[in-house]
Amino acid sequence: MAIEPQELENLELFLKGALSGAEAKALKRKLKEDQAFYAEAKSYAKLIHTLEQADPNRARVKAMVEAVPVTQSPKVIPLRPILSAVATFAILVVAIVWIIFAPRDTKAYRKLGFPAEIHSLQDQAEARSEAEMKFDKKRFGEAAKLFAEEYRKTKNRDLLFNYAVASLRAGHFQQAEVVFEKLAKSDYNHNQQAELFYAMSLYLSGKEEESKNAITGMLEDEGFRNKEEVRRLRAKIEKNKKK
Amino acid sequence: MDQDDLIRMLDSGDKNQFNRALAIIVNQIKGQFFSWSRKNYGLKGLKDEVIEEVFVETIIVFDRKISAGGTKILTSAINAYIFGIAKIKWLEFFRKREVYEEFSDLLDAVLITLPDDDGPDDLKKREFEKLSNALYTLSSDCRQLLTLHYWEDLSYAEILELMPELGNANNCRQRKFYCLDKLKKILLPKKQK
Repeated sequence: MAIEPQELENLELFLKGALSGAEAKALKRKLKEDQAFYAEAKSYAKLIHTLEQADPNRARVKAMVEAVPVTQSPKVIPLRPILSAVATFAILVVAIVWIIFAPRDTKAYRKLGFPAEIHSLQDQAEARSEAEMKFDKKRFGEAAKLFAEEYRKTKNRDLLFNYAVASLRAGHFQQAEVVFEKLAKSDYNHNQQAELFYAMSLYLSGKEEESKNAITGMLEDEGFRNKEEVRRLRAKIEKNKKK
Repeated sequence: MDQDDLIRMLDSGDKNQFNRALAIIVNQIKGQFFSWSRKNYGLKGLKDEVIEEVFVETIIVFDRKISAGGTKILTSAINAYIFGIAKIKWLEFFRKREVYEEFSDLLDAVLITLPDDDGPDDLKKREFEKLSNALYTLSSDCRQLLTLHYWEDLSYAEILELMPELGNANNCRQRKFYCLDKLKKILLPKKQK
């Protein structure tokens, strides 16, 4: 007998397309190399195929399936890729608009990297909070305007200081410079901080030599308390010049 | 008709109801099956006849499984279950295609000889007739074993539940081989041996 029961088993699976891997390779090799085996396999293959096809249930199901025409499903516009493209485009537009129009610090301020913050007056009136809120939202021009209005009404020098900070952040360096100088020379509580920011606004408005002198003055002033901050500003300026 | 109605019909035990439910399922799913097949396998240059062939094979398996085990074997919605079978059938189809490309004359053996004026359809019909007759000349055990294996597509474990006298899977395999050999001897002309 040229074919063994296990080989027949594999042949059956092979014919069904259910045999893979090493067993499939071994069977293929034998079919190619052993002619007697091939002849025997051929007769079994035909017999098994005919036997399978003669299944009365198969004939019933086949007839039922063949009787049903294939209805072409209506052409569906591929909405998913279109929506995806539209969404991507919209996100891109929003991102570009945001990049162009989003309020932010001026490039010169960002490049220097020395922070200038306002004195919070949250426990006071609504307009001040609104100014601070505008400041938080980086709408520095509007914040400066509101701080100035409130200062005119109350003469609170913290508001004047805040006005100068907002002006500095809005890129109005000369206005900031004038106000910080005034506050630095006054008996204002935070006059030393105003002096520090004065030196900073001088540098940002391109008056490097004057800024340097202001920094040297602060460092030599024995009464100046926060020299560490002054040295930090000087280091930032030095670093910024190298960029 | 919704899924619950179809399940009720498939489980009714009434052959007509079962066939009606199957026809409805085929009707509902055929167009979808063709679109799905074209989308997933169409790049390989498939013709409609080929998709139809795989669809028939898929529904045959579905029919056998539901006939044997009822709808309790469904692990998902009917459509999803059928498409699960279809994935396997497509895989088998591509493997089968490779087999017949490599061994193109594997099914060319002659089971019966016919006069020259008989066409291919007659040959097929006569082959089936002769095979049915030959099956009835076998012992009832052999006939039952071969039909359970080739027509019901039962595994050896499932056959052993119905024919416990076969003992174990190995005996079952040996016996099937013996029965197939007997059938071959009945069918094949002597000159082919």
